[in-house]
Amino acid sequence: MDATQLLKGVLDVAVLAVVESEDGYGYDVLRRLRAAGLEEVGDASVYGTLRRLYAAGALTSYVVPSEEGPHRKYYGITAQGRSMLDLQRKVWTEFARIMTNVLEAA
Amino acid sequence: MSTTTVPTEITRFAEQVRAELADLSADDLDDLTDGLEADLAESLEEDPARELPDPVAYATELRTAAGLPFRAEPGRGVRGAFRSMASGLRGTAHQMAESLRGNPVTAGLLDFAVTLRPVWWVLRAWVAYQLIAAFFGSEGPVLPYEAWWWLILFLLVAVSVQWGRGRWRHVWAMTPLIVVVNIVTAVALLPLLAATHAWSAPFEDVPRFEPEAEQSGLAMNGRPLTNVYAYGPDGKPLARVQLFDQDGRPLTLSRDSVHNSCPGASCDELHPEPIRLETGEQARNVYPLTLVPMVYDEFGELAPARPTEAEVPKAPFVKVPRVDQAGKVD
Repeated sequence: MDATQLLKGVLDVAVLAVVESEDGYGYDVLRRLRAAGLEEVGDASVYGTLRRLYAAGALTSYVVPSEEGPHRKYYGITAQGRSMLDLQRKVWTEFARIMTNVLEAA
Repeated sequence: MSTTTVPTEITRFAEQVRAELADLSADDLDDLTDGLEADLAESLEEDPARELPDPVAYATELRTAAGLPFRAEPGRGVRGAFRSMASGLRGTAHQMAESLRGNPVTAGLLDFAVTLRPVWWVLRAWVAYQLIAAFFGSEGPVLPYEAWWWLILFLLVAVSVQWGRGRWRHVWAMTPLIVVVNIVTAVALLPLLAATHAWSAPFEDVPRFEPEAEQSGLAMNGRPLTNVYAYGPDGKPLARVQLFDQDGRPLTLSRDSVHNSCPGASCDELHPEPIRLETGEQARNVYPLTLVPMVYDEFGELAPARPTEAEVPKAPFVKVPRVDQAGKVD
């Protein structure tokens, strides 16, 4: 078991949390996740997750024209995304608490 | 302007990623890849040093991050088989690389190995050259002698390097082909290196086998003899006695044992003086052998030692008791 495997289950909530704090475009979200310590996260995972969350209605998106280079597609969180994030926060906190107990009791 | 021009490279890459995910439902596929081109363009723009990744690995990452199952049915026919093989290998390689990246030591080794990739590309071309040359009966030298073969080797290196740089990754069946070639190279490399080394080794390195040299010869109690002395009925030494066994074969000594039976330090080898029969043939069963001490001179050549430098082996007895007149024991 390594962090990469664990990350797969929680990437959605991580991306939601990052976008909740501030809207961001794909590479920006990737960079913020990496800066937060998730260094092994791949760009396909992040871009794919953003597109899925957008398709599921958890994110909204808008294009910001850029002087240099391509226009950037920014993502922001929707009300639906926020309630999804709240629920998953609780699930994660509870899960982490239980796992910590299990591992420390063993 | 709402659209930007996307390089064809990216369009082609996105097509391949979609093809890898073709087993998903249309909705899932859209969710995963809608806007893929724009995202790729953005990500390349952000990090100009980046190159487009492997489309199969990229598709795998999209799939696993979404928690979607791996492709169960890889498609039909040879193409499907190739695809699933390549995708399986890629997936394994990708996972291995990821787990190696986790440890600083193995990550360093991995980086080192990645740096050495061009060496592998050249070796791959060399193995192909050797195999092709062997097919045309021209195997042997490490590098070709003829201009014609140099040209072929050069072309093979060019092809191999272009492969390695991923230039033709988009050509159909190229990935499995490279995998097969890499496996062949890995298997054939060591035997080929050994074969070409043996071929190009100078003759001096090859052990010399002298046709006359024999491992076996007359022995007593397991110890090889280095000379045989015959005495007549009168107890006096005989010269030039020819000895044969019960089947008429000449009784000879091990030449190596004779050579190495030097009595003193000032002699390197003992060589018997050649003796010829009336037929002109050389005889090795004429005893006692007249042994000449030989030394290596400054040129590394064996030359007869001067008598003062080495003692010539002598008969063990000047005379032995003579045989009784009757010649029989009661």
